[in-house]
Amino acid sequence: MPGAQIVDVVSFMPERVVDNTKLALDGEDENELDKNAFFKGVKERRFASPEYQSSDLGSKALKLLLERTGTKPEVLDLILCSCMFSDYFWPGIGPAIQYRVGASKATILNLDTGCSSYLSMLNTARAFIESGIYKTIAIVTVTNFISRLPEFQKSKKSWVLGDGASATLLVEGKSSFVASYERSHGEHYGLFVFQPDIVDGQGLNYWERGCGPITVNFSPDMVTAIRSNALELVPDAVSKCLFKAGLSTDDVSLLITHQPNAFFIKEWRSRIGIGEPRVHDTLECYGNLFQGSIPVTLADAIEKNKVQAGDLLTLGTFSNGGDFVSSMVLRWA
Amino acid sequence: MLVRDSLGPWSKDSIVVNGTKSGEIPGLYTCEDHDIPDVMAKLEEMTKETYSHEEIFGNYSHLGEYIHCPVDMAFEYAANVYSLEEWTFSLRSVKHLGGGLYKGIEYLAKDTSIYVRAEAYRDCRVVDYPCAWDQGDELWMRYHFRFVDAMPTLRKPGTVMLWTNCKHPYYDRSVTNVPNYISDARERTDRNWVGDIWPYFDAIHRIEAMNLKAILEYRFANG
Repeated sequence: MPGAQIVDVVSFMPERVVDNTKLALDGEDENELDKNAFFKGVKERRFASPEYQSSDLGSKALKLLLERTGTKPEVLDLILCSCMFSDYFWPGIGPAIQYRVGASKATILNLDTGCSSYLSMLNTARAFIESGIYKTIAIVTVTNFISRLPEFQKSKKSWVLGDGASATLLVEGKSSFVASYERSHGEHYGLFVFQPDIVDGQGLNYWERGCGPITVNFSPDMVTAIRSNALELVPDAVSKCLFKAGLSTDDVSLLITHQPNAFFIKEWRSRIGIGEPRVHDTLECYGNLFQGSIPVTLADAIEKNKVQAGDLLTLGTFSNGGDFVSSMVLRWA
Repeated sequence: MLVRDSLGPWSKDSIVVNGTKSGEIPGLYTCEDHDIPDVMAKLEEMTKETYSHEEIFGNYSHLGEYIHCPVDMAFEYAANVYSLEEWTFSLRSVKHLGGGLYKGIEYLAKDTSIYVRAEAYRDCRVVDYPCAWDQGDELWMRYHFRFVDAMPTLRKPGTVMLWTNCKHPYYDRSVTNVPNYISDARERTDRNWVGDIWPYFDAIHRIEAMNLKAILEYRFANG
């Protein structure tokens, strides 16, 4: 069976920096929920819009990856793409990226498992390579969300959110994959949703005329339930994944989790049992990038020489308040 | 008889050894090293007329109870988190916060909320209630139930309920390496900490087990 080897991971972060320490509340009093640890831990973030469309961000990241790895775009067989806010309601941005980078022989696949999408795309790429269907695959994540929502930006509850893109190259070679664990938890579906804000006391569906701008209508109960889900699901998934791999936490060289807020990251580490220096974060400087958090943090760790050949990397994340959980153990080639 | 060996058939070679045979592990007490008089003396030594409360209930609170109702009825009842409002002594006003997490009021202590999930496994008729006072971030007070068919077990129709709680370190005030959400809650002076009543867990659980038994038996007999 051919092996799927991860060659490199790069990020492309939009240049516009939003400094959280200089933000002032505009017309909204800070309430109890705003003070919840769920919304803390970010010093600055990047905003993409209006300078970049999502397809721009994805193309920039993939071009950077192809240049850095000396890969010709024509050799790409498949581009897997996950985007948080495509440029149109429909279709997804995969074809735009494929065309812009000149991947003339590639097919595309848009994929969405929320903040777990990167891990799901790694699994998908691995399956395509191991089955012999494709040999060279790029994975692209694009987060271009909060910069497009001026109303939601006013809420302190959005101050952990940032924008950015990543690209990852996989080729047929020595396998990087040691174990993975993914599970859908549909019982939690609907707990965390993006939906139009209420207008004149009315909450309209997103497809109805007159609906409000997209937001997250947080409530204290919802935040409590998400915290409980997240703090239980992610350590459990990481532990199951390590068990599948026949490894213990002592074997792990570097743990990279999703980057939603400082409280989750700290609790996850303590419950998983892996702490400094075998961890890496970008929350403070980039914020929560949804599905982009893990690849952007991994790219940052590579850039800072925290990842060496032979290292065992462990990844862990969850989606949509807990309707999906995912973990992966990789051996860096 | 239905054999529920869903993972087998087993082979001796597939047993989890992790590189070490059991004969190489020190401290095991087996017939390979001890004859019958040897083990009988050991059993005599280990068996006493009386035991201290700490010996029996120090680290685990186990309970068993026979209930005269079908085992599926008992399981279905306990699997519903709202049953806690009926058979527990003081857990009331349960409401769903979302994502399977429920919040109720624990009237055993002043101004105390309780967060709980009901994790039910139909195949093995196991119900776990992970719960915690004051916060839902870590449901460390874990109630484990197993409902067993009494027919093969006690040779009579009905249910055997097995109930176990384990003494998590957060119960113990002398354990200081705890998160803030535990230390802050423990420091409250207007109420007891849940760990302070650990010695009474067996008693309160026996009361609650009798409630559960009475409810199920009455409803089965009069349904």
